[in-house]
Amino acid sequence: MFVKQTRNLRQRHNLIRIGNFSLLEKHKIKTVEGLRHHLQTAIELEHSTIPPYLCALYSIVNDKNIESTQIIKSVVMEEMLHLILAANVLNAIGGTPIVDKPNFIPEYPTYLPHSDKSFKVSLSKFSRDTVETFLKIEKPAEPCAEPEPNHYQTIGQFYEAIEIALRELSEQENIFTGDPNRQITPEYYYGGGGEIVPVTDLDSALNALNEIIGQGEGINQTIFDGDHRIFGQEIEYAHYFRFNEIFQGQYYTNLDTPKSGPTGDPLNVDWQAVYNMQQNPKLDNYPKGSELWKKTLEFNKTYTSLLNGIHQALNGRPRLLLASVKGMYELKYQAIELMKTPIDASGITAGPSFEYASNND
Amino acid sequence: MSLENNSLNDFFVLSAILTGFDKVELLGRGVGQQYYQQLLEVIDNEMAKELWELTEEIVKDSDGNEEKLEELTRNQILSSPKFGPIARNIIQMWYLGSWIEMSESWATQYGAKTSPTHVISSETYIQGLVWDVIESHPQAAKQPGFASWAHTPNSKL
Amino acid sequence: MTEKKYDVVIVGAGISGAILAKTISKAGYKVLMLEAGLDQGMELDSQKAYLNYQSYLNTYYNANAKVPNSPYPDLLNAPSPNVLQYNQITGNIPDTSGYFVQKGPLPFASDYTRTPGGTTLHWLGTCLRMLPNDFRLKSAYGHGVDWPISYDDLKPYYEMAEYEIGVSANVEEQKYPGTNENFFGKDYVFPMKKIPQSYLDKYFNRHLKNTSIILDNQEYPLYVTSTPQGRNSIPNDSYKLSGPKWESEKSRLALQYSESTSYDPVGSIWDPYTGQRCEGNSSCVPICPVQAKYNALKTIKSANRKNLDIITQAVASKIEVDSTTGRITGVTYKKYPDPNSAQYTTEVARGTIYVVAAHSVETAKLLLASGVGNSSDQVGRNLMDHMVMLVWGLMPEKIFGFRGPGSSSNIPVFRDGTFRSQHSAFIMPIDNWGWNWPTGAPNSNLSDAVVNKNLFGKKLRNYINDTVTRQFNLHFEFEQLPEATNRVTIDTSYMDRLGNYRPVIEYNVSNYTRSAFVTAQDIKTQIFAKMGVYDFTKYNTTDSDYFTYENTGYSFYGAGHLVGTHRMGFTKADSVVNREQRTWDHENLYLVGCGNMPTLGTSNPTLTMAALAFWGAENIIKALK
Repeated sequence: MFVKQTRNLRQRHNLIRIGNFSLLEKHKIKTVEGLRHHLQTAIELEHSTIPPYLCALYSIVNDKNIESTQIIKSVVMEEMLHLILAANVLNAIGGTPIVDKPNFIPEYPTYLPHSDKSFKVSLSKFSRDTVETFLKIEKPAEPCAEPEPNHYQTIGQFYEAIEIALRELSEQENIFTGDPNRQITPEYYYGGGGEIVPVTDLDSALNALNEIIGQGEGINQTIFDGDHRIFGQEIEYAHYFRFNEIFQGQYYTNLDTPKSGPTGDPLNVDWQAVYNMQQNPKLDNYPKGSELWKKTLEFNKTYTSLLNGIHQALNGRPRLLLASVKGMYELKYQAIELMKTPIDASGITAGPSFEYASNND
Repeated sequence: MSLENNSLNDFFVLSAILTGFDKVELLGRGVGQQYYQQLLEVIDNEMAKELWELTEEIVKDSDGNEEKLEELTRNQILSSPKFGPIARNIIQMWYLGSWIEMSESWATQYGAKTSPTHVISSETYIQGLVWDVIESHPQAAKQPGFASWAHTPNSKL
Repeated sequence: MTEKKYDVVIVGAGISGAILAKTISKAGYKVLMLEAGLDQGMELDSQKAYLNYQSYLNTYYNANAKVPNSPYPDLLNAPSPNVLQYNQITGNIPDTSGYFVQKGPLPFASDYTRTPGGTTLHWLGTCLRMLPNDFRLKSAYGHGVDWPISYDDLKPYYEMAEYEIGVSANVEEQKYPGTNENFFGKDYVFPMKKIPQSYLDKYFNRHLKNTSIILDNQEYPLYVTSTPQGRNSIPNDSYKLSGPKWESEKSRLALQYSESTSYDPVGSIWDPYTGQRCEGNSSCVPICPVQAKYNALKTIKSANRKNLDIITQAVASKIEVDSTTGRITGVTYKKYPDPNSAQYTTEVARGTIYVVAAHSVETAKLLLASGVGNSSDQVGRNLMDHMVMLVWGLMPEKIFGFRGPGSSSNIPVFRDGTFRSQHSAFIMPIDNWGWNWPTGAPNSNLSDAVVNKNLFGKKLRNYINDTVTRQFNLHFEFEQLPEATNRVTIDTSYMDRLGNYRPVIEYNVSNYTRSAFVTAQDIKTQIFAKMGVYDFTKYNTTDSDYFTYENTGYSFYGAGHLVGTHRMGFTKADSVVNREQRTWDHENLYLVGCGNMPTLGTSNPTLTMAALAFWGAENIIKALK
């Protein structure tokens, strides 16, 4: 929503940085197996940001902060899209996406998987501090930053390392040996700022990756994501810049650059119209069997069952992705109910703990 | 919202007995305070206090026995000419999100005010318990997603 | 002030006006649209459109009675009828309590919405084509009239309408009586796959499969079909058509075919990603919160805005005519700057061609007020609606209603057949929202359980859960014949605040339709017996539209399908417009909308109206050449 009008964008092919392979030899992903491993990490990485974003999103009181709500919502939808795109690439090269294991879910507060451990991410309510952390998560790569598969500073570096490996490995042999029926196609996905790219070869794989990088960080030092050119969508700003609009309380204009910062209309943020959610809630905070314990467990079961459904969808039953929409909505309604429930006299409330719930819990 | 206010806490305790939902479930709706205030627009503090004391008493007397609690609630609150109509309105607030106008004669007899039938707020409409009990969702809110209606409500993936 | 002259002036920004505006503006002509509703309702910019629509939603949440018009502004300067405001009519005293002046003998029970986007804001979205025999009711069954066009004439325009609205359906499931494989034609598919049928539809289908209804010793095998709907679903890969375009070399309007085309569901007017699928808000009537259901604002938004001017808060009050040539010279309208005030200025819109697309009742009213187009004396006559008879009960097991679109399946068996020489045809939609329509469930059940049944706590929960999840409602929509005495008139005694006429309505139901109620009750009894339904159907003598026939009482509701008030026909004497939808009396005045339909059939009329609007647009473009 509230999309800005389009301006001239660069050609998409400029976005793929041909001839810019600066990855140090020792850091390279050298085997298909290694590439699969990194794509699984990509899935974990994309997922790891979703619970924190959802906590901020759901903590906003209904009908308040409409602009911020829309911004965070659009980012979350794109993270889900990224997760699926990464899984499509992984499936295309004969891998097996895993999203249903207990250790798939980070224990918050957490460093992002494989990151340089410069900051931790928490489950917390919508606040200036929280949005500041989001800015760190979505920070664009510096123009000279090297691709980096491990201990990356920015997500862009990480994906660029994957992109290079895709190119180099597919020069040696056909690595796209996966079953095309495992691909998630557009008919199974909707509503989220971008298009699903089924991956069957190098071109489609690179398209999928660029969809991820463009949306997350902006394209080649602009504040735009890449969708307009490829899919004819109305223009949207990349995640970092969208969060920065909230942080600065001001919209970008089409003439703005990363350097200029936002210079457009004010964006009103009411930091008070937020449920006072406890940071990083845990099931174990509550006495076993208590009403809050039960309610938190119920949330975790919904979350786990959602992951199980997505896991099946990514492993040969794409149609199940449609059914998982229901779980996503349930997750939302249950999270908000927790956030409305005070846990002590100070008015701090419970919240979704996003923990794995095994069947015998 | 804090439950330090004892009366508000009693309101939740009574609401839980009347609605059949746990207190935490009711807190999670986030609209209890609006209902409490709506109630106090109709009955005065003295009458409210009497109701909260009665609530505490029956909870104490039932001593954790659910059947006893039900019996005491029926005998002392729902059958009471004075409190019965209030209790029925508390249930309808939680289930429908609406205040239902009470009878003129009841109001006159007990020195209460009347308030016309109305939806208390957008949020109370959305939080109505009746939708949960029929395993659905409020019309035009909390949508369950594409194709959900093609299956039973509790069917998982 | 110099008046801008347009190629086409359109009165009304509902679906017909929107289709004309889009099609004609895209063909390169300058179009002006006049709309009686509020400025903010026409906001198409993302943020403003969102905020306005949220205000509709909030009004709905806070409405005590969630009737079709409840979310939308109630305008004193452009009033709309409301289903809460109709009552039994006693003797010769008209009921003037609502916007309509109801002379009866039965009150007319349907409404419409005077707001940008029109009644498509609260339509259900059902998109059934009319059947071939509906166009030739007189020749086939000796009743009503024939249309001057056939089903086959209209077929290409139905396809355009299905594109524009975005209809979801599976062709192979669309089996109707009196049709063959040419009904849709070889290889035709809808833009999107069918809206999934509800759990209760499937339950219904399981129990009625391979059974029949017996009427007068004749057997009618029963079947349930999925209903085509104007709401977003999964795009159909095989759909290779895109928007209708004026092809000047062939002098025609046509959908464009291309192998590389893929259909993209049209989301909300504020965000293309919202509403790409129906999300199951279960509130299609009166408001789809995500706009997954089509409304005419989507069409207006996709017009060529450079060629389209829109004036809102502008109520057309008179069509000006040159008495010597018979040509229309302008449309006078009252522009009110403030909805809360009766102040207005009088302005005139001028163009080459004029189109009234103001809804069947309002269009008839405007023609009558202007003394225009009525040499046949047919303006305002032949008002028709589907009479809706509800039947409801409890299923033996839970069927979990109150979920999904209002209706996702129907029983089409009685839409056509030789019985039409005796009584009305009817369609039987299966409703997904329990007893919401007949009794106001679930609220009424809850209050009854608390107040009358003295339930509380867990027992209350269990009781409500056990009964309401078994609630089931089915309804019959009966065709009504065109009858000259069912009509809209005007009377200087009844004016609205701006000094425009209020519609005066005379209305009754003839025995042709009343006798179909008898058959329908027989069918209900047979179906309920087959399914083990505990019948709760009850008609009260106090219901607003209660009548008796052969000593039995029935109640009906309106369907909001107002049709026939300026019908098209074969001659200047029998109709208001010709087959091109041009008035017989004025060569530069066209009428579009449901008012043009000579008969009603058993289809919800919006799809047919949209098809006719494309036909009308094509004829207007030809006339402009």
